[in-house]
Amino acid sequence: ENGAELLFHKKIVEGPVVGKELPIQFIIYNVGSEPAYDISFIDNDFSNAEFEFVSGSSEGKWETLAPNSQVQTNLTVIPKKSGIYSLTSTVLNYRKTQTSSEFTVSSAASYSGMYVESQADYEKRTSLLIKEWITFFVLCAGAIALPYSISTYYKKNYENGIKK
Amino acid sequence: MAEVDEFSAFRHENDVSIEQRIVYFINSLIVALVPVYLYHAIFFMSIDDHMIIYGSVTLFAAIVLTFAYNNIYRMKRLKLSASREHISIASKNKVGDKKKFAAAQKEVQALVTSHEAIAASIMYNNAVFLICVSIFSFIIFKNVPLVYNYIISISLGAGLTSFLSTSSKH
Repeated sequence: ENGAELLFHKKIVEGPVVGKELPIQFIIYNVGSEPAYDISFIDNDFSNAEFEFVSGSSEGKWETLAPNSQVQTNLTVIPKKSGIYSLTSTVLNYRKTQTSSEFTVSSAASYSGMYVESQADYEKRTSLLIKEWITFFVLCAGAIALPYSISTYYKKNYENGIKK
Repeated sequence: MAEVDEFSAFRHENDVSIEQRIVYFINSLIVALVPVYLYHAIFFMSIDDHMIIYGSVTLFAAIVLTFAYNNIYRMKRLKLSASREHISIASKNKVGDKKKFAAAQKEVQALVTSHEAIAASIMYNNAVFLICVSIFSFIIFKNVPLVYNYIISISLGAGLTSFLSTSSKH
């Protein structure tokens, strides 16, 4: 069958973290032999109060897309609350030929949901904890060095238990 | 005539004074709190959520470590005393009772020996305990869930320290 054939990919680039910018890409690939026409989609997964809009667009429109090519639009939001969020299969509408009156649909390939990590959990997972490690070693060294210094004091100032 | 007990001087040799017990317990409590910081700050085992576990395991480790301290203390003191008994004390004071002076010197010597043995014992046992805890928590029980890792590592660390302190090679 000749004609345009579009694949649609909704891509979440990084792991979501509260307060951290979350880039989302909508990528459309034309793997058919003909240009596609009147391409459009609207995504509603991030258009609620839990996400703060930063830049980009959650919808896209293109007049035409040549065969063997791709087009991409970006959306950046900041999650405000941790938890599990559903992701829907965003619907892409397009026409296979210029004269066709019917719209063909393609669903976005994506995960069915995502977990937004809280800031504390994120820092737990990624922090090198250098300050904490140093403190731990200082505590260990102190627990050993303090009695050692007392022992050394006696060795230094007393000879066989008698004051020098 | 009642028989004179010739060994009465040695019967209380191993008694531990209250002051000594207090010193032991304070030091063992301090060293048992070091792993609490490790699990709280590095392993993120919340203190508020695990207050009872932290408290009881720390107390248990502190009590076990006091026994370890005392074991090493006795060995150290015996060794130091044995090496010092033969030292003849040159009398700097020409005037006065030489016997009384020598007795006073012996008493001071015993006290210093005791303090030195306590310090050496605490240092040795602290080092052994912290090394054991580190090996248990990071290597041997690495894949055990965190709370059980804590309980097993600290308890076994204190127990192993106490066990090693019963050895006669020190």
